[in-house]
Amino acid sequence: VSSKYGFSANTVWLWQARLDHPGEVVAAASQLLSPQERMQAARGSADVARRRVLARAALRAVLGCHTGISPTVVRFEYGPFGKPRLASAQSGGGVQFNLSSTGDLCLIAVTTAEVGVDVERIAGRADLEAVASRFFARDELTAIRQRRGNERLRALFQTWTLKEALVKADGRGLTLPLDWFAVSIDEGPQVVSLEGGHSWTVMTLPFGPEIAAAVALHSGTVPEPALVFGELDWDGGSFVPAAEVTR
Amino acid sequence: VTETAVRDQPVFTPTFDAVARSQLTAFMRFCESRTAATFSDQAAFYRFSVEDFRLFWSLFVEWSDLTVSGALEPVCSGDSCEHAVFFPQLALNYAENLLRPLDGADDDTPAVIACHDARPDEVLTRRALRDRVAGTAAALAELGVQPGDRVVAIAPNDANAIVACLATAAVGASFSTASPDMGSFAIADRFRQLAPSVLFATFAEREDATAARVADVVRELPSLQFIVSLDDGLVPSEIGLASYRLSELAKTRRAEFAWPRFDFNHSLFILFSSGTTGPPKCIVHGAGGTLVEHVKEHRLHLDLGPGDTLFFHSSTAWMMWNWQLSALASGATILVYDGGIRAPDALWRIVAENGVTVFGTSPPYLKLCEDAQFSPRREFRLDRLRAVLSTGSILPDASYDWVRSEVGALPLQSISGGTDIIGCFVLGNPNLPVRRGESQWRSLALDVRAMPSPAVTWPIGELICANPFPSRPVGFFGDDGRAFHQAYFAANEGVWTHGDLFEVTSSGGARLHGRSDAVLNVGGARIGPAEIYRALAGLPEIQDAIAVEQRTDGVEGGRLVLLVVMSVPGTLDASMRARIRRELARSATPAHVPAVIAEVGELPQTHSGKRSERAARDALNGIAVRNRSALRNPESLDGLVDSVARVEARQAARRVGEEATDIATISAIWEEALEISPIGLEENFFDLGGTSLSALRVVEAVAAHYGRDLPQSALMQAPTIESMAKLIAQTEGDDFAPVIRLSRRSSGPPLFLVHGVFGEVFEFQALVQHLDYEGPIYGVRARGLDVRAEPHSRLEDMARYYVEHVREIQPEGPYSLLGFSFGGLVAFEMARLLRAEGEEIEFLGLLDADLHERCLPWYEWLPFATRRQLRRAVRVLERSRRMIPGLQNPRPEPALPPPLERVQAHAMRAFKNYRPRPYDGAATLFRVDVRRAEFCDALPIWSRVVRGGLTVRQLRADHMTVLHEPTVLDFATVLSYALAGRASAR
Repeated sequence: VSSKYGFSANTVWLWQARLDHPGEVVAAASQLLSPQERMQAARGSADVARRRVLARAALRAVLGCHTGISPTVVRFEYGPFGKPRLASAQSGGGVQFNLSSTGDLCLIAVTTAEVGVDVERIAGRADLEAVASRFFARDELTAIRQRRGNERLRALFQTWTLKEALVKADGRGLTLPLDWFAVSIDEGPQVVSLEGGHSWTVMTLPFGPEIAAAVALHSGTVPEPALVFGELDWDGGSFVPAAEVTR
Repeated sequence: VTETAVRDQPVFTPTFDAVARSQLTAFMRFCESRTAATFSDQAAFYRFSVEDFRLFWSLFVEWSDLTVSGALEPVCSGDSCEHAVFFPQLALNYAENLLRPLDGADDDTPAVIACHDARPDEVLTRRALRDRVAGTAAALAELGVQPGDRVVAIAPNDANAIVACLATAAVGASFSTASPDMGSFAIADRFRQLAPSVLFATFAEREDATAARVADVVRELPSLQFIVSLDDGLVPSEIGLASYRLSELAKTRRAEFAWPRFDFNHSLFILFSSGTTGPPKCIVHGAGGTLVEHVKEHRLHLDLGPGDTLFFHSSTAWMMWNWQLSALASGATILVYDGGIRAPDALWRIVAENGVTVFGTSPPYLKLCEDAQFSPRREFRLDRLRAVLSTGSILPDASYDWVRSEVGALPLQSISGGTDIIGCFVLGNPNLPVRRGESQWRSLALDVRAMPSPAVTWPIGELICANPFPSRPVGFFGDDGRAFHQAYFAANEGVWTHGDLFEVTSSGGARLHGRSDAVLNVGGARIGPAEIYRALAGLPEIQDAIAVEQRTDGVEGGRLVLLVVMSVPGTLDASMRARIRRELARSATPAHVPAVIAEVGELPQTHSGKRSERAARDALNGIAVRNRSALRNPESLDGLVDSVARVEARQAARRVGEEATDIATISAIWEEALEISPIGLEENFFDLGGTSLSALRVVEAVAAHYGRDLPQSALMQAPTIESMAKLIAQTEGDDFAPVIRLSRRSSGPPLFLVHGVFGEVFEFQALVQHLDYEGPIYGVRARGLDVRAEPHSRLEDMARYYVEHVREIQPEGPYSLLGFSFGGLVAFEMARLLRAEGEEIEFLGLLDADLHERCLPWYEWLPFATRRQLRRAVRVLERSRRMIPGLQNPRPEPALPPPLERVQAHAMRAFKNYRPRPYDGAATLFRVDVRRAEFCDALPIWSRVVRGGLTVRQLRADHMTVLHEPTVLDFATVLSYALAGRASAR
């Protein structure tokens, strides 16, 4: 394990990468993928395929950094509801990850606990309120409806990303009913317990006014998480960490 | 080559010795000695019996030494089967013939062994039976019962029914029976036609509340002079008629009874046909014909005699009851059983414990044993058993092999005849081998043939009997002969047409091929459509209806399809279907409830305006309709097939227009959510850039547009526009069955088992297998198992939904419910709802039904919470010890199948929020002695809310194993007793 990208018990690495690289980069990046990943990417529309290739290449690069395994050799396994994880042979240090993207922005969380991450570009859509009324918990709706204008839109997205991060961390995704638990956008890091299940620490991530993002971690053993932000650049045929890393 | 060869190999061959000693051989020798003929084989003897049937019957009466008076000649006046009269110069008393002392069966020989579920067995010697019959007959005569009177009985299959029957026969009156589990409507429909003067009925307290139904029947029978209680049960005072007890009548002045003899053809039994039109027909059977036919079948075909014990599993409402009763005339002991088949071993146990020599049952029971992999030969000593008989429907080839390997080297005899002739057209022959799928032989002296029919391929044909035979009915009661002619002699003038299809095989045996007329054979049960029409007559919304049987390839006994014409076209909706099902279950029987109900514009009718079941059935089964020109409206048949197909595959048969509309709607929603256009029907939502959030947008928009709930994860299940259109179409149909049948038993009220936290009922599998329960057992499943439906997350909603569906199966109480764990809470709530709706709850069982700690009052919660806190601390300590080497985090537990997981999650929520409210009925709590640490003991709460008395049964088990083998055996036993209402006996 590379010491530079190591973990103490509470470290959560959050890597962002851009997915709007030109065609030759996409072609080069696709060489890092397994045949299955290439197939999966190719099934999507042109934009979707490009983002899938780049996101997977970025993910492989990041996991390479954290495990010391070559990005092309990284192997994935899938949980019962399709959540990807490192093949057990390769996750010796208990490295766990989760990936989310919105448009051309991709966010990868890496830590040693079960983790879920979600990032959304905030964009005004009339139907989002209807989605929230159907699927969100009552307390969440109350908190959202107290707000007006841009504040309200942001609250909607923040609530959504917190919830989505949690159901992704849990692994069940949308098969887990969203109104079973409530998150609060007025609190910082918070512990949410699922009935008959596990407890999760969820928190929003600061990404500026146009982006909402959140991360959820299994709260069994991890104390208050320490976030480390990094960026990935395309350089020399692979994604590599940018020089500066914010702790 | 080999397959045919194996199939043709006999599955059983009688020994030389058995053939030499058979009564059939003895009678053949007797006939040879009297005729100077030689019968080289069975075929030759059968030919003789048919060609010279007069001589055959005359020799038989002489050889069998029946007690008769008068002249044997003429044997039979008239040559036509329809009008011939046998032995017009003879007189006899049926009961006297059954009860007289015989060589090898003296007065101390057991005549009747009566086995009961709920009472000890009863054995009557021939003397005791004769005394009781004589006493009762003397009393009946004194009370004014005349020869020719009709006496009817609602009787369980016990010794009292036999006494009542023989006493009635002894005074020359006719006897008709109904079993107590029949509906009062059906019983009254039958008995009313006879204007009976006496009713024998059971008034003892039975689970099925017979007494109330008997009262209903009595109201319909103004001709009754008095009533006799068969079993000392109290005759309700509301029945304003003189009443007596059989036990008292049986004691009166028996010595004075002189066994008067009556005309050979006086009416003995009046049986009822299933009736395709109008009320059931009353088939009158003459005493002499019945007796000589039965004695012939018993002695010659079955080799029955003194030393034999015959057990033919029947009810008093079936002609096999009358048939087995006559075996007393051959000196055999008869065994009757008043109870159901609770488990595969039920009847074999009786056979083994009572030394039964000849056992009669039905193909379904043999199949049940085979399916359950039950081996009678391994479980019991069946040394005395020498023949197994099977009747009722076609016996599959496999049953022959099963009997050979699991019962023993004995003949399995497929017998068939029916109510109409109170005997058999085909049956066994002790001198011949048994071949798979075949009845061994045709009934001696009956000229039974397969008549070529356009409906089937020769050598299969309509079963006819071409010569006169003594057990031909005397006629129909109250008929001038026309209905009788129409029923049996109109199809083929001059010969009896039975309505069965059959063939004579190369070996001389016979193979049956089902019914040929409009009587429905639904899953093996014969059903007259007329009973359905009469029940539906009470629903004004229905203008007309036709019930037909639709067959599946290779399955004998089809399913019931009901075609209805609505008074207001287009009004057959789900609730109307439910009402029809309920009405049929209530006023007829559950067997009358159709599998498919479809609305049609008109029904096929003949020119005289009669609906044509046959045409409808042929059309539905894809058989060319024979005589379209006989129909007034042959075009109605085309619409009919369409309607059924539409109902059957609602989702597949949705009209193209509707589907196109759906696709257009869904495409528009997708385009909006994905901001892409156009989208192909088979493109994957996520490949087009769909995210969780846009997936929810789609689900929301679809739900709003169609006004119905789709699961949150709908797009994962149906990620293309096409599949989503299907999903939406399916959500419309209500095809998911929340209540499913778990057992085949059916002779009693149903028991409903309510699902646990995962929503499924397969955890009850072992219990159902081991439970000693005669009624059908149903499993109640969670709606959320259906991926198209939203799971319930409030326990009260669940209960309401289940009660609605339970009521479709059992419209009225008393109800029996059992719930395991979480299901105990649901069952409790269902019971509360049913009680609130005025229903009776016969049994409510809560198996290890824990409640959420929130239900506890604080003084009970505190110690529980403290203990739990301690346990948690210990667990954390243990975990931290294990965790030291690495940073391994526990993953969420291994996942269940998604629908179960979904249901579980909702159920947990319902569990947490549920508080039981008081219930004024009684309940039984089955507690396991190894408690789950994380749940509180619910006993204090149950004892508080169950106001009608809480019984607690402790089980040596824990929560995880109580429904699994071997622990489940204990529970099954305890539960069986509790269900039988005699838990205190343990």
